[in-house]
Amino acid sequence: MGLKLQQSHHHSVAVKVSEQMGTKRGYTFIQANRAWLPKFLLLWVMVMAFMSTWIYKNMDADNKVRRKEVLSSMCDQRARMLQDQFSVSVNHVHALAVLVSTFHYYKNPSAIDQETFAEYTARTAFERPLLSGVAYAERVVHSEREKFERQHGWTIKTMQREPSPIRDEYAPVIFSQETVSYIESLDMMSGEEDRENILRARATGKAVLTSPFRLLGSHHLGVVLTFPVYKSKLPLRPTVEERIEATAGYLGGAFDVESLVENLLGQLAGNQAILVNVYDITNSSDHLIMYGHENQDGDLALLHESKLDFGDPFRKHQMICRYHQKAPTSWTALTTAFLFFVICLLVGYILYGAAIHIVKVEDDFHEMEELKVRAEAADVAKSQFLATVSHEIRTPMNGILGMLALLLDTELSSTQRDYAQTAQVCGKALITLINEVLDRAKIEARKLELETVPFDLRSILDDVLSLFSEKSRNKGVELAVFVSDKVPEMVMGDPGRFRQIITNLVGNSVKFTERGHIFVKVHLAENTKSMVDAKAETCLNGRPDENVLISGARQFKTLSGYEAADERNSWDSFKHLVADEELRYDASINMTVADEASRSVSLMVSVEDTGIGIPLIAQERVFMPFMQADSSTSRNYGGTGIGLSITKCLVELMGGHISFISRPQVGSTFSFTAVFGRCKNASFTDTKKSNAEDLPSGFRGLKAIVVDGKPVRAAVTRYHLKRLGILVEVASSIKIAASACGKNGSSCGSKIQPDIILVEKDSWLSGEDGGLSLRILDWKQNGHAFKLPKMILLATNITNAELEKAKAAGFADTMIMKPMRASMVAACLQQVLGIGKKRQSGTDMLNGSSVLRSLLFGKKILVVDDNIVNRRVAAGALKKFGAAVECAESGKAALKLLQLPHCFDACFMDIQMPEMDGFEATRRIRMMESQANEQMNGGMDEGSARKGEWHVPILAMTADVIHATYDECLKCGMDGYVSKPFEEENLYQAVAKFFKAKPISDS
Amino acid sequence: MLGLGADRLRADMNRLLAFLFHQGILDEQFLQLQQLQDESSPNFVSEVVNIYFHESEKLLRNLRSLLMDREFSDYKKMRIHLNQLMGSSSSIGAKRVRNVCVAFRAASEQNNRAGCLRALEVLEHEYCFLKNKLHELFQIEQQRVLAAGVRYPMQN
Repeated sequence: MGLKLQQSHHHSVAVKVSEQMGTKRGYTFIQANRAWLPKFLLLWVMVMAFMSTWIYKNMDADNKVRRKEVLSSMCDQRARMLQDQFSVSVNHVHALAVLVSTFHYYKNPSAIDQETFAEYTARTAFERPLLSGVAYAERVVHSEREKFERQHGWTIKTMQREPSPIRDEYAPVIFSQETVSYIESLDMMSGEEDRENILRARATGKAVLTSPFRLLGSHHLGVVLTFPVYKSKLPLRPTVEERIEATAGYLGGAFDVESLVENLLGQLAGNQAILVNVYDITNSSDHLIMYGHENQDGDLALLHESKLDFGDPFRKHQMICRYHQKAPTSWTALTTAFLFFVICLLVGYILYGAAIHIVKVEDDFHEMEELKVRAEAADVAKSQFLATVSHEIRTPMNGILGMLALLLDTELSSTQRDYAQTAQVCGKALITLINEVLDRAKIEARKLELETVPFDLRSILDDVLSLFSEKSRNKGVELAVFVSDKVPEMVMGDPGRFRQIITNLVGNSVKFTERGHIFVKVHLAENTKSMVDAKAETCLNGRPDENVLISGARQFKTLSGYEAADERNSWDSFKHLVADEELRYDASINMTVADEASRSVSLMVSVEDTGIGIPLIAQERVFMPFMQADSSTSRNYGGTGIGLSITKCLVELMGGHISFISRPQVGSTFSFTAVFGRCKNASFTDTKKSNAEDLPSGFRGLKAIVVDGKPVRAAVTRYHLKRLGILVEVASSIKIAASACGKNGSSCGSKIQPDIILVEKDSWLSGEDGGLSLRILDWKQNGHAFKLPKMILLATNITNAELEKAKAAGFADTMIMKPMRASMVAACLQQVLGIGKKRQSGTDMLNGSSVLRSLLFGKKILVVDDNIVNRRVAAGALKKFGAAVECAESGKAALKLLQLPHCFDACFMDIQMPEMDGFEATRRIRMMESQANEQMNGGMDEGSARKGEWHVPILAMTADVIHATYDECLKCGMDGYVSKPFEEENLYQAVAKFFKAKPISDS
Repeated sequence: MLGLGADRLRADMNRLLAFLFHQGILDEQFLQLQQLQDESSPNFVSEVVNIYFHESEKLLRNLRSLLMDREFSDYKKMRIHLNQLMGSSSSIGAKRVRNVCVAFRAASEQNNRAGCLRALEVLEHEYCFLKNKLHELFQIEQQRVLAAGVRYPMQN
């Protein structure tokens, strides 16, 4: 139910996050108006369409104006020319009239007859190009008709060529040009237009025109021009009657307007382009066409009217011009407008596209952002879920493990025990896995913090190696550690995490290695460079001596002789390191001063194995969580693949980086750097006791010879012995060692007399063992040696037969099983040499409640818990193991009881208590102790009987088993913690830490 | 015959225990508690459980009075009580009571009065159930001890 509630809480958090996103989401202008975008585009297109039509119209209007101007100018020009030509003809007719009056009437007899007139007019016809012909008609009143007819010899005929009926007056043509001779003797007054014309002309005395009509003899339209001819001179300003009286005859000419205009236009350029019509508009309602076609074709839209003045004020004429063809569409205007429109359209579309793109990109961006937030939320949720779930799993797992532990305490058959033990192992593995997952989650949430406490790197490495010693020994894999002398003994850092890294790497190596060796090497990171140089040197030198062929197999100068992935660990470079150290070791006393100056030390740790290696394709993702080399790995070797990723994170937290070199079927070398703080000397001694295992110092000054054909391995052995203060010589074979000894022996120990000879099993087996025993016998016989050197065999694994053989060969003393660790070697040596007979407490090997009982028996223990039930249970549990328990129900009560001098051996303190919690109480107790310690150290000499230090072990009791709580416990000065429902093993582990050191005789 | 009775009583007790485990009322911590009981402290379990009952009843009373105070419910105090109850419950292995306490605490963390009241009722119910069952268990235990006690002198 708690879980469910928590989940709903998460859910609400997620909702909140998304809400926050919604409000945070910023809108740009384009984004805000996204719905308007198509409308904007449409509007733009429409506006542009309008613009382009406007442009088109403008240009078109210009064109039209120009066209109109052209038309009007052309029209005017034609009208003027027509008018001029016309008036020229009129003038000439006028002159003819004058001629006729002068020579026909003023001369008596008349000087003109038809012949003369005809000839004259014919010869002057060029002067009147417009006139088809001229004729003279005499005025004849009816009374004179007979006389006239007689005189001329013909009768007056009408236009229809019939004898004229009787009229008041006649106007028969007497002279005529030859072109119009057919009208001689016709009475002009009989034609309607002519008559009218005649009457008007004699009344005005000016040239008059008829309205257009079809001329006789031709079908062309024409007008007739009529001039009056007067008999006598007219008075100035004559009246109409006077004029009529004086009229003698009429001179007429026919204008063939059609051919006239045709001729005229023919002379002008561009007459094809325009259409010309000439009208008589005397009668304004009925325009009579004089020239042109009545049916109106051509461009009706545009026409130009020009006035024509033919000299007859009574008649009005007009010329109308229009273009033949309609105005051609203006292609330039059209193209310009169209191109403008297209360009604008494109621009608009580009802008629209850009806007759409922006919107899309922004949308995508927002979507991505949202997804990112969701992913992050999911990640957080995942981490929380992992943390919660692993925490929730741990509680029942503790129950399962507890029950299994209880079950194993009961009477079980061997099968049942086996099952139960398996279950327990599995459960423990599961807990480890869950812890790893928690670690991973914590690292991801960046909540993992490293502590900084002084610790002994070497002892941690020893511990880790001894963890895996069983496994490696079973596999026959050699496990070794080497720490450079320059690495300070105590460094500041997080021992737990360092151990975790090493455990992980070595664990991996052990898992994947079936033969050869696993070699952990620690040195200062600064040395790496010189090693690389050294390596380069060997490369330059070529490799003639690198590989030594032994019995057909390639032998490498590595720890076990198998090839390793990274050649840096082979002897060629390793010896540089060792030699380097050798040199500096003497100088190190001086160097330390300089070294102390730098606050931190950067270490390079490499773990080399000769396992199956990592497939090339998998090498990239080795450090990715949950990725194993391939899926078959987990089937064959187990594991989750989370370890290396955690390792990487931890290394990075330690300020270093991890890398590896791996060759399939050859092996892998993982190396990482880490930065640790240097310890100040003051705190060094303090912490050494509590943290580091004490190595017995009884071996100082002893001398040893290590016989090993493999220099790297010899260096490792030497390193371990050196830590015990033993001086070491290395001999590559027994012969050399023996000869060295022998020489020394014979020359009365001028050099070293070895106390111990350590022989590597391989060297012993390969070398002739007989020689050694002979040597030993030799020594015995010589009696040179005051005491014989102890013979010790070093072996990774050994068969019984070999063991027997070894014993027979003189290794009766002992043999040391690898992997070596200083304390173990010390124990063995103690056994062999009989130094410091005090037996190391062997509690490590034992387990179970009897041990716990022996540890706790008779101890006075204070249990502090506010909860009476818990108090009672804890007291009951501790009492069961024989402890004398006293209880306190609060932090304050505990403080009172824990006054100095302490009468309790240990205190179990609940963390969650009202008023004063466990942390606070512990802090106060520690403060009190430190004050007391200071006073005492100040007041008394160090040689006081007291131990010199007050420190009551305080163990936290807590229900939750998170590392953070543990860290907190250590921070405020507690020595450890136990999970609250007491678990035997847990209790033992916690208690053993500080009760072990005390002699058992106490109990 | 009496020996048979003792065996039957033991079987009854085991059945009852199995039932309590199966229902999740108790967990392995109770077994741990029983392990702690030996000759030197023959009544350890009943002693502890009685202390537990005493304490729990006090706490439940307090919780109820705190919740009944309509105007002002002191959730912080409530949580302290609940932590106490949770601690002691997990110590004797009263799993279901403990779980209800967890839910109760969650409700009080959200100042959810209705949820608290509901949780309190469930808690009281669980507690009564546990108490009855444990009393039953102790009764059988007592009878068994009596039966065993009767038997040993007879054999001797």
